[in-house]
Amino acid sequence: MTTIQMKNVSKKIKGTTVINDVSITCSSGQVTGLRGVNGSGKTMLMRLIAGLILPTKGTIEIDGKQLGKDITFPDSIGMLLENPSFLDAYSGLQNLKMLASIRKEVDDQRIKEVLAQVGLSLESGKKKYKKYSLGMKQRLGIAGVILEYPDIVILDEPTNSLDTSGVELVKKIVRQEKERGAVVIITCHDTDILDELADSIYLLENGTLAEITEEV
Amino acid sequence: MDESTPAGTFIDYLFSMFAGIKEYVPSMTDEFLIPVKWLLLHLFILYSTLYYPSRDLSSLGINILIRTKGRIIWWISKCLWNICYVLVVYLLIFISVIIFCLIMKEPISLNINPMFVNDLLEAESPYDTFSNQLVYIILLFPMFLSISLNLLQMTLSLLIKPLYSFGVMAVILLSSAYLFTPYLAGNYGMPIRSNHVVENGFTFSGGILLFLILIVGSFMIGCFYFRRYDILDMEENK
Amino acid sequence: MHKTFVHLIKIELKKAIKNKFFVTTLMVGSIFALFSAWYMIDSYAAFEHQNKVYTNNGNPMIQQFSLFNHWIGGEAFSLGYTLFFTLIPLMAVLPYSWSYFIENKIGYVKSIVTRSSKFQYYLSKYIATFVSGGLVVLIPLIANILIVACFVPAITPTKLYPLYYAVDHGSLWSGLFYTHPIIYVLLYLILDFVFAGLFATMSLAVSFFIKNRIAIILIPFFFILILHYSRTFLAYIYYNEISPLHYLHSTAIENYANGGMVLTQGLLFFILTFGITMKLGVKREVF
Repeated sequence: MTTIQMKNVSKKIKGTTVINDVSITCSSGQVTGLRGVNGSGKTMLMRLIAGLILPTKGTIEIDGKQLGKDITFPDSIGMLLENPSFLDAYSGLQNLKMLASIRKEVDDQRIKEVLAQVGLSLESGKKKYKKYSLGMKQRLGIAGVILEYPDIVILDEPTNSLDTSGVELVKKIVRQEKERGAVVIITCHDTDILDELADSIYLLENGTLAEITEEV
Repeated sequence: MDESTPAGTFIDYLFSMFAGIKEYVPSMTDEFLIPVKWLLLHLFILYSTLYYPSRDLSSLGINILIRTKGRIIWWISKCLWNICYVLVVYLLIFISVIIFCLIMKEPISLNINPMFVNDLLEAESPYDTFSNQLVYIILLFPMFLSISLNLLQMTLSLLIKPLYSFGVMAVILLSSAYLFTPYLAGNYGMPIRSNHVVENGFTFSGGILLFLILIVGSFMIGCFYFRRYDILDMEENK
Repeated sequence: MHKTFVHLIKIELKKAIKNKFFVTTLMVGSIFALFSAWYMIDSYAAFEHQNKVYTNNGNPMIQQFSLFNHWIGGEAFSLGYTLFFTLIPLMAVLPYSWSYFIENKIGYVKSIVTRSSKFQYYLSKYIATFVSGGLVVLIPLIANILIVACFVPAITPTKLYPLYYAVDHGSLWSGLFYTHPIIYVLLYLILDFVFAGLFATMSLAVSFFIKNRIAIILIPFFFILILHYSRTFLAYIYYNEISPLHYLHSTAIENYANGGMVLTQGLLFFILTFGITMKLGVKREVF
């Protein structure tokens, strides 16, 4: 059971407040949706949860451990922030293998399984990443997120560049991750998708929490 | 200053800046020393023109390229940009030396002092006086060398990664310093190796010919290649 | 956590060495080293021929021609030597020094640091960059000495021919040169490896401040060239070598290598590059 607790979190970057006094709690088996216009602070909030940036004020606790104090990053996290980022010179498969070999928690079988799960054939997995289409890159990005069964799944606009079948695939994966017991945090411009997937939705406006919709 | 030492003129300072090194004769007892001042000058100009053309093809330039409706025009514009850049750099060098002369109260003249040529530049010149053509060589040839190598570097960047293209230019410059041969352009870019300074030196017309071949050759190869060049590839070259 | 670091360093080293930039640069460096070997073997063959012609006619000066003044680090008059030693700072940075800049730019750093830690990521990046730069210079040097050794005998140098051995009393490890030249050469190979590694990490450190790939790669090269040029201001004032382009060569080219100066510069380069990488890398937020 994993719980993320953000308490009165604010973040200033170069004098500009990008997140202002936000308090959110997310738990295992729940999908939390973030909504807001471009630049409202959704991605920044996700970066804060991932420990990539630290709050100027307030605290973020993962299972009671404070980010930036007790732990640097959450112990088990998979994330897709903005664009998928892999190395051009390697194939999709090699990229995933490289990520998996850092912790060595999953084997090659799991990598192949995950590739199939996101709709990429083994053959396309062997192609160089720079040869991938935008949709394929996005699929590989999602594969990278769920690869090691993370406790926290962060998906920032996961349906970007995807066709209809790809969007359905994302929905399926989000549901699977939820059932597995992961904390899922998702942003999506398509309100219907967010409404369909999220258990609670937070609306962000200029870095401030404007509205909370529980149990959609 | 010693009374017997004449004042250094504008052209003397330029000569010392662009001179290069005299012919190197390999010997176990005489180590080769790179002409680092000369090398730094040319490499720095090559470096400063390396990034812009390739970057331009990967971002804003694509929009400009589409709007110009002609790849050749785009290529010509890049060549002109390159030439103008070099001209401005040399103009700045000339102005800086003039200002330096004004401050130091040195004569702004085009008279070369033979004493400096042999004592400071160690040219081992047999001549006591130097012709006007040497003045043109000092003023023009380093600039022509920069233009030629810059265009060559840009053309080469279409074929190989820009950094490797820069590496090739560094090899050309170093080889020119080491090898005393009329086939390496760097030799003409060292006024100290002119036939007006040393007996077996390189001629003015030979230099002009080689620079023309390099400039026109680079431009033509670039034109030919760029017509069919896949702009997608340039993105990877960044 | 320790295990993660071992995995990470393995991945980084693999990325640093198994990439086309490393291979291309290594090939270019090897060509320079082979040029030098060819030239020196040829020059030795000419000497041998001369010995046959003038046989029994005076001192053959056998000790004048040895492996230790014919390998690329011992000779300073071939084109191969000129290209190799002048371009060391450029060759060292090409294989992998750009890697952090690219990974940061595309956002790949996020995926790694969240699976390990910033400290582990930057330390492994520093080590991999260092090793790639060092190896790309070390391998051609080793290839050169092995090839030259096949043709030129490894005669222990003698001080009787000072003109042909520019290693004087007081210069770095000079005692070893005239007694255990192989150890002397090995020490120089290590020195060259270390400095090439440090040149490579200069680019890594620079990438924390500059956002232009070409500048990141070329700044160490220009810095070393400027340092090389600055030695001209010390002519007739300071008689020890201050330019790495000269003191990385096992025999003196202009001034003699001073151990203190080499150590000071090496430590300074290390402290600055390692300090910047680890301090800023760990401190800075990842976007």
